[in-house]
Amino acid sequence: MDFQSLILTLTRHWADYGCVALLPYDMEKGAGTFNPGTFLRALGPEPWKTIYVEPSRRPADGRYGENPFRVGMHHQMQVLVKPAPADAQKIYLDSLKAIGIDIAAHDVRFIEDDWESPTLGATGLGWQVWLDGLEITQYTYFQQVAGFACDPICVEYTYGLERIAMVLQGKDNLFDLEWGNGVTYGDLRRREEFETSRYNFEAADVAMLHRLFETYEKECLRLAEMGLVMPAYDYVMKCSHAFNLLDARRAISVSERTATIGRVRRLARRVAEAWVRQREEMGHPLLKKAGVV
Amino acid sequence: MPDLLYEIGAEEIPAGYIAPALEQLAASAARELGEARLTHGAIRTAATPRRLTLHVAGVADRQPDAEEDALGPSVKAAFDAQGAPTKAALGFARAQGVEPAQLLRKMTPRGEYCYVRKRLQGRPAAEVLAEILPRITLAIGFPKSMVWLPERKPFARPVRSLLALLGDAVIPFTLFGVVSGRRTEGHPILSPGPIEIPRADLTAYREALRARCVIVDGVERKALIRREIESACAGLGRVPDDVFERLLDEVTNLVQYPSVTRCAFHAEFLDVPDMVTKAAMTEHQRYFPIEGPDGRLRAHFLVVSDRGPEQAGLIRHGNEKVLHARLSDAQFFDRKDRDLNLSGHIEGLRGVAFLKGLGSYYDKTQRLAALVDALAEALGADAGTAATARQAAALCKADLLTEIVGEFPALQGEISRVYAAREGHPEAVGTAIAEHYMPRAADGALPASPAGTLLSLAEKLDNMIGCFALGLLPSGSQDPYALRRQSQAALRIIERTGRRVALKPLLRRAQALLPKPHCDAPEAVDRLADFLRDRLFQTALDRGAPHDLARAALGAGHDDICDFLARLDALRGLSQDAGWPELVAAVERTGNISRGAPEGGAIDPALFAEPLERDLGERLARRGREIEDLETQGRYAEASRLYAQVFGPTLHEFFSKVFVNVDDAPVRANRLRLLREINRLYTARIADLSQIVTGTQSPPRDAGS
Repeated sequence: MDFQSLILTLTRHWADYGCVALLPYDMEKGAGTFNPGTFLRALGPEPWKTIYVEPSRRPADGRYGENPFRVGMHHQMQVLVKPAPADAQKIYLDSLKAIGIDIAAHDVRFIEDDWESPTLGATGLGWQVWLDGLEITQYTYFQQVAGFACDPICVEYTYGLERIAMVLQGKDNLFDLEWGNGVTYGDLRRREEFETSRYNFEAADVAMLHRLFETYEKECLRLAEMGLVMPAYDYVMKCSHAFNLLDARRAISVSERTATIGRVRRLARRVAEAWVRQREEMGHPLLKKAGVV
Repeated sequence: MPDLLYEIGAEEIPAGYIAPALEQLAASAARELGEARLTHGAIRTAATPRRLTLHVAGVADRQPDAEEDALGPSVKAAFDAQGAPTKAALGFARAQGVEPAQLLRKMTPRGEYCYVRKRLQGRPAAEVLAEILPRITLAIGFPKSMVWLPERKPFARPVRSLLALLGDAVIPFTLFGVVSGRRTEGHPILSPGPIEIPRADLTAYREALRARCVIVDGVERKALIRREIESACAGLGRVPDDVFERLLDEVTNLVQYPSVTRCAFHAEFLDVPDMVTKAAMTEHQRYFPIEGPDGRLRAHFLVVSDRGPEQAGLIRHGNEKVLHARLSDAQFFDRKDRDLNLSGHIEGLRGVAFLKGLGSYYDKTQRLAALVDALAEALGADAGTAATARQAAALCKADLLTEIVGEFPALQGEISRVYAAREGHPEAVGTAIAEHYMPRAADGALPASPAGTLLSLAEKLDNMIGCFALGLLPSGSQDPYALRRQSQAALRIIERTGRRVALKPLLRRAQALLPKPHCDAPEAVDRLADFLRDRLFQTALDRGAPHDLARAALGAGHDDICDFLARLDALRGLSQDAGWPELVAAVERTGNISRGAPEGGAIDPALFAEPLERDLGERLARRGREIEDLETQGRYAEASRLYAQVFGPTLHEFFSKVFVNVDDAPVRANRLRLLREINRLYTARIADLSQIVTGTQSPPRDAGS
C-alpha cells in the first residue's frame, strides 16, 4: 500500500465510522493535536468525530534528509472521537485491519504512555501502540485541554504514517517509501528536509524569531480580547512554532524554556476560554444537531 | 459453601500498577467480608494487563443474624434527678425506634451509658457482595487514575467488563456503566470475543482463559518467560543481573500469552559501549540483552511478545528493525562523541546555565575542583586522590553535552566511565565522575572510590550552599532542588569516611567560591548548618534514637557529623546503665544552678568554704584532665562513666548539704564557677543532658535550637 493510499484508506475507514474528514489546518504546527479540530473541539459538551492528516513540524528532529527514520516534518493521521465509545480499542484495531495489517500475525501491544502537552495545557492517559516493537500510534483518553477538564472525555488516536508505511511496504528507509504513482517520499521531500534542516539549525534569524514571538503574543491577546477566537488561535500556533524554531537553534536557555512554554500555554488558555464561551452563547449547535438537546 | 469469583476487565492496565492493585484488592476483600460477618476460605488473586481477578473460596451463603449495641447518652444525661427521661434519652429512643423505658444501661470506661440492643437480620451473601464488590473496586488506589465516563468515577484505565459469580449465580450490580455478569474476554487479538464462565471455580476459569490465549496467573507467566529466556540464552551467555529481574517483573505484566523470540543485531554495533546498547534495548523496548562469560554483550537479544510461538519470524524481523534503527542512532551519536571526547566539551559548558544566579556548568566545575581540594585536606585524603578528584571535577559535567546523554539521559555520569577511559584518563577519573551523582536514591549505594567520595561530597555541598545563598530553601513538602535528599547524602558520605571534620568552615569555603556579590548572603552558612542539624536529628530518629538523646547530643554540637554520631551512640549505651539517672542528675543540677551566673574568672581554691566544695574542686583539678583526654580521644562512654564515678556521689551529697547561693558574694561566685566548670566538662564535649526527659511528659517533636 503506497503512502497516499494509506491516507485515503484510513480517511475512508474513519469517515465510514462517522468522522468528519477535515483537511490539514494551513499553518505550521508541531502535532495534529494543535489543529482546532482537536484542540478546540475537544472542549465542551458537543459530540464530535473527526479524521485528518496533519503535517507535523518538529524542527529539532530534522536530520538534513540523511537519517532513514527521522525527519523535521512528518505526517500524523489524527482521529478524535467524543464521547469516547466503550469499544474504543476494538475500533482502533479494526482500522489496522482496514489498512491490511494482519494483527493476528504480529505482536500488537498497548504500552502505558501518559501524554502531556505543556504548551497546550493538555493531559491524557493511554498507550503507545506497538507493532512488533515499533510504536505506530498514540492512543489517548484526554483528561484536560487548556487546563479545562474534558467533559465528556474524548479518545484520540494519532497514527505515525511514515512508520506504518515502512512496515506495510517493508522499507528500511522512509525516503524509499512509495508515495503514489511512481513517486517516492524521497523524490518529494528529501531536498525539502535538507533545506529546512539548514534553516532550522543554521539559518533561522534568532533575533527576528524572538521579535515575532513577542508580536504574535500581543496580537493573540488583542484578538482574544475582541472575541475573535479563530484569528487569536492562529497566533497561538504561530507562537508555538516560533518557539520550536528558537528551541532547535538552541536559542532558549533551560531556565527560559519553562517560562516561554508557560507564555504559550497562557495564550492557549485564553483562546480556549473564549471558545468555550462562544460555543455556549451559540447554544452548542452540534449538540442540537445530534438531537441531544 | 460457594466460591466467589470476581474479575475487573479493563483496557491495558500499566504493568507497574498491577501487583499493588492485587494486594489492595485482597486486603480490602478480607476486611469487608470480615466486617460483613461473611466467613470464607482462602483469598487468591491473579491478573493480566486486561484483568484483575479475585477468588475467595467457600464464602458463607448468608450472614448470620447478629446483635449490635447502639450506645446512647450517658445515664447522667439521660435521666433527671427524679429519674425521668430527659430530651437526650427521648431523642435517642425515638431514633432507635424503642420506648424510653426499654433503654438498657451498661458500664463503659467513661461511665454508665444507655444503649439499645439491636437484632441484625442476616442477609444473603450475594446481596451483600453486590455492595462490597463495587466498594473494593473503587477503593483501589493507583499512581494515576483516569475518568472516561460522565459519572467520572476513576480507575487506572477504562473498565469494560465485570465478571461476578457466587457459586453459579451472578452477583448483580452496575459499576462504570457496566452490568456485572458471567462473561470474560479472550485475548483481544489472538482469540477475541466473550467467554461464558459457568461457576466460580478458579481452575475452570483459568483453563477457560488458557483455551483462549490468556494465562491469567502472573506467577505462571513469569515462570514461563524465565524458562524460555534461559533456554533461548543457551550457548550464548545470560541476561545481565542488573536488568533481568526488573525487566522480567515488568514484562510479565505486559503480556497475556507470552513467548520468547531470540533476535540478533549487526555485529558492527558491538563497538557501541555496552551500557548504551543496554539502554537502547531496555529503556523503551524492554528487550533482554545477553552477556557472554567475558562480561561483554553478545549481538543477540530476546523479545517477549504477547502471542504464541507461531509467526516468530515476522516478529523477529520487526523487532530487529526497530533495534537496528535505535542502535544506528546510538552508534551515530557515539561516533560524534568520539570527536570531542569529554575534554572537547569543557569550553561548551560555559554556555550551559546551571541554576540562575549560580553561573554556568563550567563555573560549577571550577568550584568543584577548588572544593575538592579543601575537602581532601579536611578529610585527610592523599595527594594522589586529590589530584584524581580535581581531574574528575574538571570533566564531570562534560557528558551533559554529549550526544549520547542527550539521547539517553539516564546514562549521565555513567557514560563518563567509558568516555574518560577512551580519552586516556586513569580509570579512577571515570569512576569518580560516575560516582559523583551517588547515591542515586535516598538509600542508594555511596561512592566507593576515594576520589568519587570527595567529588560527590563537593557536588552536594556546592548544590546546597548555592541554593541557600540564593534563598531557595525547601519549605513544607516543597523541595524542588532535592536539598533534603542531598543533605542526607552528604551526611551519609561524611559518616562513611569516619573522619572528624568541622563542617562550617567547609560551607564557608564553598560559599566563597560562589558568584559574587549576590551569593554573599552572610546568613546562608548558618541557615544551611541549621538545616543540616535538622536532617541529622531526623537521621538519628530514623535509626531509632529517642528524641531526648538526640537533642542532648545535638546540644554539644553538630558541626562534626562523625563525632555527633559517636556521642549519640555512647549515650544510647549509657542510657541503659544503672548509673544513668545519677549522671543525668549531676549534669542537670550543675547546669540549672549555674545558669545565668556571670561568666569568666578562675576558680580560687582559697574561697572554698565547705569541705564538700573543696572535695569537688580537688576532683575537678585532679581528674578533669583525665576525662577531657578521654573525650578528646572520642571515648565518650568511658569519659561519661568516669565523670559519673568522679562527680556523681559527691555532687549528690553536695546538693543535699550545701546551700549554694550564700550572701558572701565572692564565695558564691566562686562556687557557681566551680559548678559551671564541672557542668561544662560534660556538656561542652559530650551532651547537654538537661534535654533528657525523665518524667512522663511527651518529648518535643523537632530539633529546635
